[in-house]
Amino acid sequence: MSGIARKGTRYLTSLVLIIIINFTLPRLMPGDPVKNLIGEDVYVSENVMEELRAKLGLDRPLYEQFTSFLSDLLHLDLGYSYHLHAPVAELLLDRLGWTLLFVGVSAAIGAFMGSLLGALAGWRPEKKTSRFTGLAFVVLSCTPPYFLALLSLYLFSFRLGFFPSKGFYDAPEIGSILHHLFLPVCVMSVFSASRNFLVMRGSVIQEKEQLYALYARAKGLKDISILFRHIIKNASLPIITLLALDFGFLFSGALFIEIIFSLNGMGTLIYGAIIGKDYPLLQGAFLVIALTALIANMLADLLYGLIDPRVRRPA
Amino acid sequence: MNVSIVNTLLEVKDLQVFFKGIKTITALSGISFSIAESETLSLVGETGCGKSVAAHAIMRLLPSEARVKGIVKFRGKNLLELSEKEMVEIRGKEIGIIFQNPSLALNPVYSIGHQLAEPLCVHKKEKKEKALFMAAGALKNMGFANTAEYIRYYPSWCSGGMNQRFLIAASTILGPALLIADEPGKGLDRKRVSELETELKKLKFKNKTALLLISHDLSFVQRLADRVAVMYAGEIVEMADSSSIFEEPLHPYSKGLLNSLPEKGFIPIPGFSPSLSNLPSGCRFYPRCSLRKRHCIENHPDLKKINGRAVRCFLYP
Repeated sequence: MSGIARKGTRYLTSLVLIIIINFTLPRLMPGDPVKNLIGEDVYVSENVMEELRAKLGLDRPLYEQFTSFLSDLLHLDLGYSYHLHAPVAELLLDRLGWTLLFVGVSAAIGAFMGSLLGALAGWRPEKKTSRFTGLAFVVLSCTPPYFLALLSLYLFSFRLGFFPSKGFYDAPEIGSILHHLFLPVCVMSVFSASRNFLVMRGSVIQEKEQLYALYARAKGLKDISILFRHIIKNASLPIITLLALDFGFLFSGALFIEIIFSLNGMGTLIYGAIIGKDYPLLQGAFLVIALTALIANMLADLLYGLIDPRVRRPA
Repeated sequence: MNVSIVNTLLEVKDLQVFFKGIKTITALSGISFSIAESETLSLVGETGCGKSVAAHAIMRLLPSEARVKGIVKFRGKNLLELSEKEMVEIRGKEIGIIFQNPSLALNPVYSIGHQLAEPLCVHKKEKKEKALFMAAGALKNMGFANTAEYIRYYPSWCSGGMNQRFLIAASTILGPALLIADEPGKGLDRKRVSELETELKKLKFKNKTALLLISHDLSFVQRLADRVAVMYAGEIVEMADSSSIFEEPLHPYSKGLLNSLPEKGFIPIPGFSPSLSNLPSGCRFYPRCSLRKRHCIENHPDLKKINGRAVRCFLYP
């Protein structure tokens, strides 16, 4: 019970910290906060500036500003993008789904592929196939994902013409979406798989030396059953932690990939916001990404508790 | 020796084990013994004398870098010549083993019930529910009260003594003809050791299971074994009935082992066992033997039979 309370406090603290940083960051920037908040390149009339200054209440004490910021948050009001002329929350929600789909599918494929191949490579490291996959994934994990993306775009789209290089917006039906998403998902999956592969291989090499693996053999289990019935469950515990940690990492990696493949997810939105100094949008995106990573970690924590009885106690 | 006993279950002949590496390690240099049905043979000796290697070699559980030679005849079949597929059928079903560290031998992420039911599912192709029911029954036979609760427990929730009993239950659930107990009492306190003893005696007398008991705990061995083989540096130096060994040990090493018992004066044997990668050419025990002669340094003694027992020492021609 105290364990759950402790974890709850930890997540709550993280959440509060995220909100505080999100609140302070734009207020720490030099120059006129209102001008910063709107963005430097946008022309806004003096009237609107005055209106905004009054609304933000920058003359009021900090705690009042914070409470109004919190109340806006609770109403899912993340501000207004003066570049795109739309509420930030609306813009982000519109794109979040695509990026979550893209990152989620890639992370799932990557975790499955990487763990499976990693487990097999760790089980019989002396085999030629294990050596080959080991080398391939070490190289892949050292390659930045945007480079892989550029390479695959050049090869499969420009040279071979198998896949479109852009134009994700214009065709809403499922076939076209799959066609457009195939290459980017492949790149992200391979990258995610390479990290899972290395962790799983090391984990299996370590776990197969444990006494329970020898005892499984002594019980009369076949060679491959020892791996799949006894070792994998133990060896996959670090993978769960990695998945949660990697989720934020994949999210930021996805930004580059989205730009390269012209996918209209959060990546392109954030990229545009950085180029155009659209601070409200960036602030909102920061908050959403931080929350997604937090939720991913919470899910991993729950999953860990389900798999590993050592963190539980008898009822 | 005792080969005349009816129905030999296991017969080990000239079993040798080497570990190839930078230096070749001779873990076992040709040991021979036999176990009759429902008989208990104990292998005793200091750490590193090859007792556990022998146990693992019989079940073919040694790592792939080990080279094994000799004959291990179990119910007429040479286990060392069987294919891995045939061996899988024997492990856990006809020969069971319990390891010295029960809490590590059980898989931490599976429930006790799951691990007890597994041999039934693997060898008898039982359905999971029925196997779990049988597992609970096995625990009940061992004297556990809340079996329905215990089968849902995990090894990390239980004490070492409890895990030891779960391990015994898992290894004997299919009623193997031979149970190998590899240092079963190690790391357990006195009370748990006596519980373990009760459990093994029950197997021995009620289920008629033959036991290969590997231990360095001589008093534990004395209470359970029918025959004892004393091992030193990868070979058997003395083999006899349990009572003969404990009442009248012949080999200087056996005498030394008994004298190191608390009730016999706690006198340790001076020196250490020789390195298995660099064995002395003569008698392997001569560097530590108080009765050594020049002869012992130059020649390696053979295991000689006298009066129904066997000893490897020049003192007994």
